Amino acid sequence: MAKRLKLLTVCGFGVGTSLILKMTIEKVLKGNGIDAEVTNGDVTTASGAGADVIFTSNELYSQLKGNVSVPVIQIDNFMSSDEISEKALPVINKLI
Amino acid sequence: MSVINYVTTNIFKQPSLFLGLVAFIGLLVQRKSIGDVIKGTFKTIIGVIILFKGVNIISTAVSPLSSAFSTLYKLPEANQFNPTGWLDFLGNYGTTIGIVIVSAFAINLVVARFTPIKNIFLTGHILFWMSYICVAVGVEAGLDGTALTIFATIFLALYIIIVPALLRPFVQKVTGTDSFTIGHSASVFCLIGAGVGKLVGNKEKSTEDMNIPKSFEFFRDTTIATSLIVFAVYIVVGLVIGNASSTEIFGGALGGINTIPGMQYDLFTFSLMAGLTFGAGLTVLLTGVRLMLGEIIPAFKGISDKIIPNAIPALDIPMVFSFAPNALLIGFVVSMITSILTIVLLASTGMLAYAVIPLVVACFFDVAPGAIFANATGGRRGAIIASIVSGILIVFFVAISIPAVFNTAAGFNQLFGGNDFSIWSSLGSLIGKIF
Repeated sequence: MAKRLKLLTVCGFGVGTSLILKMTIEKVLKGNGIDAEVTNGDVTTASGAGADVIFTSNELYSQLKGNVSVPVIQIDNFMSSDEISEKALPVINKLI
Repeated sequence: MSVINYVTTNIFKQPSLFLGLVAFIGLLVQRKSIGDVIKGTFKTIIGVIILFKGVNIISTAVSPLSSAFSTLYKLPEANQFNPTGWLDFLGNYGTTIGIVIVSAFAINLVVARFTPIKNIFLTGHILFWMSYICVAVGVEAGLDGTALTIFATIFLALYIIIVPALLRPFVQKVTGTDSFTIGHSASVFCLIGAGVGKLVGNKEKSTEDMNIPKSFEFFRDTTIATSLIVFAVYIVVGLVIGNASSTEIFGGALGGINTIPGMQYDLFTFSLMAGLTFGAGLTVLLTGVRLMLGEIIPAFKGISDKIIPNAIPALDIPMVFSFAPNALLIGFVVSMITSILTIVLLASTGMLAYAVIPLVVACFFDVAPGAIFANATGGRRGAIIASIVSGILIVFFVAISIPAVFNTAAGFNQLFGGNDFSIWSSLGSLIGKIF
């Protein structure tokens, strides 16, 4: 039994867009039979959230990248399951 | 009967418990495991409790500013609303607000199922606050009980159905896809931005071809940017009202912000702590909102996906941020400057009858996205001119909305208004006068 991964989605306020991204990621994970905890949050508290992988948009990417030591994945279209599958699954599968 | 009585008098009167119940039903509908249901329900309740605490902190951090503005502009006593009145209102009508959200969302689903308007409103925090405004407007019109719930539900349903539908073609212009529209209080400025850009701009010269220095990046962290601006506003206002007044007003409010007891008042430290206390309050508020909506919105989405497969979601405004991040920064800085100038100008001529304080949050989340739409229709010139226009208009929108919801949501509009919230406060008060 591998450990349960913690994924974090980040937007400026951590209330709206990151929640949409979280729902899309959960859909992708479910489709691939991966069990992980996905939470959404804001930029300010992201570095202390203790996540294994962080997902965010391109305008916050460079800011986050410098602040955390875990992989940060940049997503352009938060609604696209395909984009998330393509970018996230390789990273997640390596960690499991 | 006594059970039903107990539930309606005790559970329904507690907004946190009521919203917990909504989440609980939502989780059951999604067939989640028992553990997830319990966890999600409690998370929601805790979220609402935290949200109220955050709002309290924000209130204490800015109420000295309102008092200072009242002194500065010599506002008549009758025009000064109770700065924490909007909070009490939230506490008293929290459950009505919850019922209105659920009912209006149900109407949204029905309309999307049977008419060509296919957008489903999924921006939870806007749903919550717009419901708050609709209930406030109803109360101002003298409604209560069932009549209040029905009025606020219809009013909110109109907003969440029509406004995202109006924006849809413009969102398509900005993003190049028709997979979602925007459901957010910034709509009025997105429409103004798109219109102004079309009138005065040149689409070929985009804001995104400009090089904006990396050192401005921290402005994208809204909490920090907001804290800094509140800090700066305190310093400026403190200097303007003079040492004697600031010692009296700000010094008297030392207990409200997070300072050590017995601190000697000085303007710099006070302003810094007030600004950062505002940031702390905002962080707490958003944490609460996040916990509250994390369970409810997926349930809403799950239900909508089941019933209306071809629906498109109306989403939060940052969905368009990545399409023109430069326009966003330009919009924020330009509108911040023009709105503060407008406030100072109007106030010094005595035309501002109510305390309007600089609208940091609205400039970032409402006016600045308008610049993205203006850039899409009119490039650089469109974005800058639209932000100047909107920065001036935002002050008028707030000033008009304060008397419209004077006894209920005036404080909310003063802090977070100037956008659709203010427009609907004013509209609603007009409609309320007819009834």
